[in-house]
Amino acid sequence: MKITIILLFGVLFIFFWILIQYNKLIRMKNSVKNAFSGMDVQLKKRYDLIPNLVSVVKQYMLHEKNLLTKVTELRRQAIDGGISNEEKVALDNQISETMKTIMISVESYPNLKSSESFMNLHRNLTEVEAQISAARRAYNATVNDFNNGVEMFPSCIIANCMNFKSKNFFEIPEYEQKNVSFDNSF
Amino acid sequence: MKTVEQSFQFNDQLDGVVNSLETKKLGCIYENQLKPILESFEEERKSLMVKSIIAIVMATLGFCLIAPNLLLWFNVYSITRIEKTFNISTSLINSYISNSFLFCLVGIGLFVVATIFNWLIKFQKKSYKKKFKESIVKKIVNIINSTWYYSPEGMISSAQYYASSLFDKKVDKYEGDDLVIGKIKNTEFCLSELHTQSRYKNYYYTIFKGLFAHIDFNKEIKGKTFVFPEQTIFNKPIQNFNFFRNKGQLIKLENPEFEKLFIVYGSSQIEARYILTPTIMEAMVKIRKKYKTNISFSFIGNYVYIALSIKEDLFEPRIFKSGISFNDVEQMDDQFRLINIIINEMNLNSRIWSKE
Repeated sequence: MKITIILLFGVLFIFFWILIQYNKLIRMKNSVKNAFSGMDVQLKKRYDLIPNLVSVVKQYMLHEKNLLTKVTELRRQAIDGGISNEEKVALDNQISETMKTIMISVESYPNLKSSESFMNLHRNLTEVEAQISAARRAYNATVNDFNNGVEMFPSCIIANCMNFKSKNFFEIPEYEQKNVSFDNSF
Repeated sequence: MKTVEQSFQFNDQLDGVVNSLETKKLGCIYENQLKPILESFEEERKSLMVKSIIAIVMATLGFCLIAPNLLLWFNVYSITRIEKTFNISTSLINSYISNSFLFCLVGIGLFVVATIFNWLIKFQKKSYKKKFKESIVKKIVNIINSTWYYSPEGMISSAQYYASSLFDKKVDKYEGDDLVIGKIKNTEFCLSELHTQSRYKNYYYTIFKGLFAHIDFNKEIKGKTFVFPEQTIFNKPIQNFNFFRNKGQLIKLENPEFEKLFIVYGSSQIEARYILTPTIMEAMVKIRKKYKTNISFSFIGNYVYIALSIKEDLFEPRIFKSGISFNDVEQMDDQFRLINIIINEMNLNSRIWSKE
């Protein structure tokens, strides 16, 4: 009788432990998803600003037409949909790089740099970049928690059963690790 | 090409040079402008000190004359016990008892005179304090920035104190002074000394004492973000239980040094990171290390609110110690410069964001 009670308690303990670990992992997985969608919102804001940027700078930057075409094409690919999160991240990195190059090129056009429409756009872009950077950091923090849950003992047992795999961190470029701003390019 | 470590070392060296230059500049101003004023105050300070000492001696003497009577009247001590405990001869005790009424009368008289004297000194102290603040503290504020407005008796409004949401306890006593209002480039600020207390039965206990400031924040904030000082090493495991639940979610940031000194709560994980950029985190660590005291920040609406805990009274003249001290002036200058340091270190003048 005693053994049956002990066994029953043991089984109940294991059941509740599995339940808690399972819920914890699901919560962490959802946090990662949520953080990614938070970042997605910010990325979309940047996609919205790209056409404005192109239309403002194209009259001045005649020699950098390739850059503008590239950024427009990248934007189109990003908003078309049907791409995985990893592809989205890779596209976003390319857009960031191209935008930075455009901003550096603006240096050579003082009239453009001082125009009111560009200045407003510049402010908005800086704002969006800061928001994207914050969203990336928030995403990395949730990924870190999730990866800890997936890799640490004993929660890794449940994670393995659920086929959860560690997720990749969003790589933050070195220039963004200091402070995010297009202002550095001026 | 410089490494990151070399850049940090270079920045620290640059800070050191700037600080020593500022100290030298202040030293010159102190010698030429402030010291003569402080010297002219010395006579008044000494007279106040002597008067205060007289009042204290009179009150002590009065108490000494009354105390034995009280002991006997309330039967706390019997004559034999006094004799044994204090090793005083019976004849001396008897002579005291026979003249007890006279002693008591003189004692009460001294007590009353001391109280009146103290009351009169209080007015003199007040006028001395006013003179000191108007000529010394005001001058220090003007040295830092001549456009700043200084009011010795002004203080940050309780509405702003509550708006900061840094302290939840109900305030029963709200005191403060030394209000400074100003602008550094585009950034407006307000700073004052504050002392808030709450009452429990008949006892007042301090909620906050120190420098309180609110500064225009250069980014658009929709939610609330709080940065509190990390109190003890035991806090770390407790953090996860989130005792500051009403302050929002616990936010874990990447800077290990910052995480050691501060604990962050906020209504949004993204907004907290939008505000607390790596640069701002570094700045907060620097400020915390410079002032070596608890410092809390809250980012709400258009402002960043800062509460720097300091136990002693700030910007007050001393009575029992010489007022001619460069260290005191330097300390005051250092405390007022808190605003400069925060605005510069946190880059609050940078208006590259969508907020104008």
